[in-house]
Amino acid sequence: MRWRFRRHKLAIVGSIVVIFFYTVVLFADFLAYAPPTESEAQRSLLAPQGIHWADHGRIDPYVYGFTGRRDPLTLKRVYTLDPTKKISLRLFAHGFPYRLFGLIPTDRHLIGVVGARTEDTLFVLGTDEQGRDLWSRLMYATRTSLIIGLAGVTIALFLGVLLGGISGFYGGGVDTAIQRVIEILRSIPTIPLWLGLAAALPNDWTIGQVYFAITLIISLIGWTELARVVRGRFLSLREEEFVMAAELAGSSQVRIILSHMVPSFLSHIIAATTLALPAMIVSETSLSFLGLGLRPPAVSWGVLLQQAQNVQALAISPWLLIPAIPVITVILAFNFTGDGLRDAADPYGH
Amino acid sequence: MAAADQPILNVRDLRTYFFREEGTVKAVDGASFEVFAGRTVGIVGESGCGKTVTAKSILRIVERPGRIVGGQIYLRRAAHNGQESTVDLATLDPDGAEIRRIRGGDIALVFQEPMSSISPVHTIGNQMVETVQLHTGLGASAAREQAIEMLRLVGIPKPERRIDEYAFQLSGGLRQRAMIALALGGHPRILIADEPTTALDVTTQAQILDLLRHLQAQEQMAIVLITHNLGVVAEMCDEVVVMYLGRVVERGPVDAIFHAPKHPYTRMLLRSIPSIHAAVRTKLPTIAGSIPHPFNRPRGCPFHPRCPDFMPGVCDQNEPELRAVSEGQAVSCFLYGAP
Amino acid sequence: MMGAGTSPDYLLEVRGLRKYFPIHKGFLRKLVGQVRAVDDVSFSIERGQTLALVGESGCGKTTTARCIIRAHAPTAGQILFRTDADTVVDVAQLPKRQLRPLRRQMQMIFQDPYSSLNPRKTLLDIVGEPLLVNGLKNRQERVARVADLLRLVGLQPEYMRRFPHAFSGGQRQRVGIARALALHPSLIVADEPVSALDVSVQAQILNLLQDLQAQFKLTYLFVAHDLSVVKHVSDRVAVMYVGQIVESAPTEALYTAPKHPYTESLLSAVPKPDPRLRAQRIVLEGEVADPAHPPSGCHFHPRCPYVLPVCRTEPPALEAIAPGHFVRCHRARELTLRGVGS
Repeated sequence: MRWRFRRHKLAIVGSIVVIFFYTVVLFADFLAYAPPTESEAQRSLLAPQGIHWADHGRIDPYVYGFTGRRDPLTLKRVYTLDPTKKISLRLFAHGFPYRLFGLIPTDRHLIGVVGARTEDTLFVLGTDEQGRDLWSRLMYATRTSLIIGLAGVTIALFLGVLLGGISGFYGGGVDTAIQRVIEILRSIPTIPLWLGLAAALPNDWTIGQVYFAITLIISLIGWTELARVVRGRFLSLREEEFVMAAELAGSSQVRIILSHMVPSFLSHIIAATTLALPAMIVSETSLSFLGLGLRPPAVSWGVLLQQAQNVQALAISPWLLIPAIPVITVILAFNFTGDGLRDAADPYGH
Repeated sequence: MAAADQPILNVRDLRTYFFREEGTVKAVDGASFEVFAGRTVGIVGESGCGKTVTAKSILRIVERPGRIVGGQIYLRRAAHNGQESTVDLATLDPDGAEIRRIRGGDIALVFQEPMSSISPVHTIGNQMVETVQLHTGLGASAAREQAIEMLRLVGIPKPERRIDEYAFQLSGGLRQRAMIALALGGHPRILIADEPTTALDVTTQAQILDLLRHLQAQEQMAIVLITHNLGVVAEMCDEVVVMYLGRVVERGPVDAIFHAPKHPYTRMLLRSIPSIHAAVRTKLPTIAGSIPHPFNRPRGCPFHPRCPDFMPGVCDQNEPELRAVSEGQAVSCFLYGAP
Repeated sequence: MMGAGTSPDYLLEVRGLRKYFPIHKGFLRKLVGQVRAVDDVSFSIERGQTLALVGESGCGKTTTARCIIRAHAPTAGQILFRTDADTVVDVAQLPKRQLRPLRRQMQMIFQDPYSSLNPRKTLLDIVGEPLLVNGLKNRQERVARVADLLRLVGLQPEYMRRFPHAFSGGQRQRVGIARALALHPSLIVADEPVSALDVSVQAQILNLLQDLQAQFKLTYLFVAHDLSVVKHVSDRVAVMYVGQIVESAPTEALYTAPKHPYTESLLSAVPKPDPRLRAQRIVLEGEVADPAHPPSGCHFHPRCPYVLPVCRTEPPALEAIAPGHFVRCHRARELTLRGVGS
């Protein structure tokens, strides 16, 4: 099966991208250089500062500083890039403290500003309306969104395999009951359902609780797809003669399920799960985008995109839409990978 | 007329190979036989012998990666002005108009599994009327009348009602009859039947074979009957072609093949089949070994690893050719002629 | 045959077996009828003998076989089996817990060599599973035993490391036989074991089955539709039609002098591999009856060439017309039917 997977070029590319993204998840703190909540009202809506890599022939990254002046018409401070101010950057610089992998205390970040003067700022992707650095927030958002996706899929997988397996293996009344439940769940329009569930979350819940609740909500829908796949496979496997032969040999039902049936559909499950992940991510992103999912100060792709909802944002500060790029990339990557896995598991589609 | 002695279909040295990634499978490797009007030729063999691929090659419906790589398939056609013409089917474009006229018109095909060859979403009538119209040019209602007649001809009771039913509404035997009616819609001169009764009960099989014999007598139709069942061959066929791993190993009149078989494979095959006349609880003589995988074709004569009359140095070095040994009987074996 | 107890010669005695499948229609799945797949079947098999159950599609032979090994729970009837401990148990009534140890003594060989072996397991796993599940945990012993079994069925022990897809249909069927033999059963139910095999391979497998029977004193229930095959392996034959046994007799008697019109037409319909025997055949009218809607009276009456008015109304009972020869026909004693000679 591995061989067949390797023939699917897109799937290889997809899986590399997926691995890359999950590396970001692990190293989010390291890759960011500003705490996600640190804001400076005076720095709001700054355009991305391009990083210049070479200075006089040597590798010496730097950015141009900002010069602020008051706009005579609006009386607001306006910042523009000033080529005369060069702010040197350093790799593995010191920055705000955090725990790597949640365990190791450190304060090293991928890049940072040499010196610590307040005017020396680094905004690789610009800032949002509250003056928060977009790049750092994007790193944390990636972590949040992908973890929710993974957690949602895990719960959906558990529920799907359990209920689908029971449905397919025992058949009869149990099967009918579970199938009707699945049909009812699937026939409810998803967005109104989420709206209802999310709006029912109490306002005073902590970020962590909201996080958990959102994950649960998303996986409550996702498990139905997996359950149907699992049920279908169980139903067809149950009729196979080698299953009857195993029963005649005296194998217990548990042994038959684990030893004979599960290996047969394991690859399908892996493929179906990989394809379910992007759906989870999109769900979370959509919910948060609509303001019903995660709320500030939590960061996720959806939360970031929520702040790009108005025309003013698009016209004046288009960099606020950059978070859409990783969303699209990750979803495509997961889809290609899942396609490749599914084709490798089952090249004849039976 | 001298034409009656001429075969309608003359297959010469047909070769159809499948070019797979893992290797080339020589599904048919030099098949030659003739089909005459009003007579039945049986092509018999076990799995991998190439009998179905031969039938598909004649009608040019071999799936990729297979294709005809050699040989000729001469079909005699009656032209409109009374003249006859011969066309080599192997040279025709498989998607072209001419072969499509021939399919259903001159040569029709009946499969083993009627459920998979009759469209599940069209009624029997839909398909039959389409066939009739395609090959006769009749109008819709005249074609429908003819279709009902065909259904009656094949013994389907209440054909006026059945014509509007779907394949799944008919039982196995009736479906196979409907399939035969469908095949006959264009009044073909040759009917190729690929294992037409294998999926049927033995009493239903007897009915279908009876029907085929009856239709043959009535329409003077030639039948090419492909089967692995030697009993069916003995019941139905006038000539027999025995195939093994893509080659014709023996060919001849049915009586000669059953009572004076020449090729060791034919002889051993006949002895190893269970017979209703055998004494109770007797053991059967067997052919040693098993059919080789198509990728592991033995060198020389394909049967030599299992042959009791194997001649070292001869049978494993050269491939025997099909040679006549008596009136109408030909064998492909070095026992009957040096390489 | 139907004594108060089971004769010590019989390994298996089936009495009045019935298996009905309910037909549900509609959204609420109402019961609208029953398929009487097995409808009052009785027979017995002596130890070391082979009984063949023959019939066409829908006759209930496969369902009967599956009831005997309790893959289905019978609707009614008794399946009396003489265990190795020389007690007689009714397989039909046995609670599930007691069924498992009994299963060791009756095994099944399946028709399709492609679906009866798990394609993801090696031959060692497949043939060794009955051993493993029944207590032979030691791997070395298991390997040795599997090697013995493979040799018994004509396969090389080295094959045990390979997967089923590497083998031909005939070889796979041998693996299935090896698996069935692993637990030293006394009864083997063979469900069309050679129907899916090439002609030349059929002979090999039939010979193997006979050799094994002699070697291990096995008892076979041989389910088949091919009357030619059956003649080579059976001591007794029972012909089924639409869920009932219509005739059962020793093989020789059934073939040379059948007493039921259906048996006669079955024998006549089998194509004989001899072109000189294209004799007048009895070709039946109509289709095989539908077990969900069997005809009234004698189920065979719509197709029977010898039908009388009583056949349409009165179902005939299975009666003995000679020692060991049972027929279900009103006219059994008066008809002279044509069989096949040897």
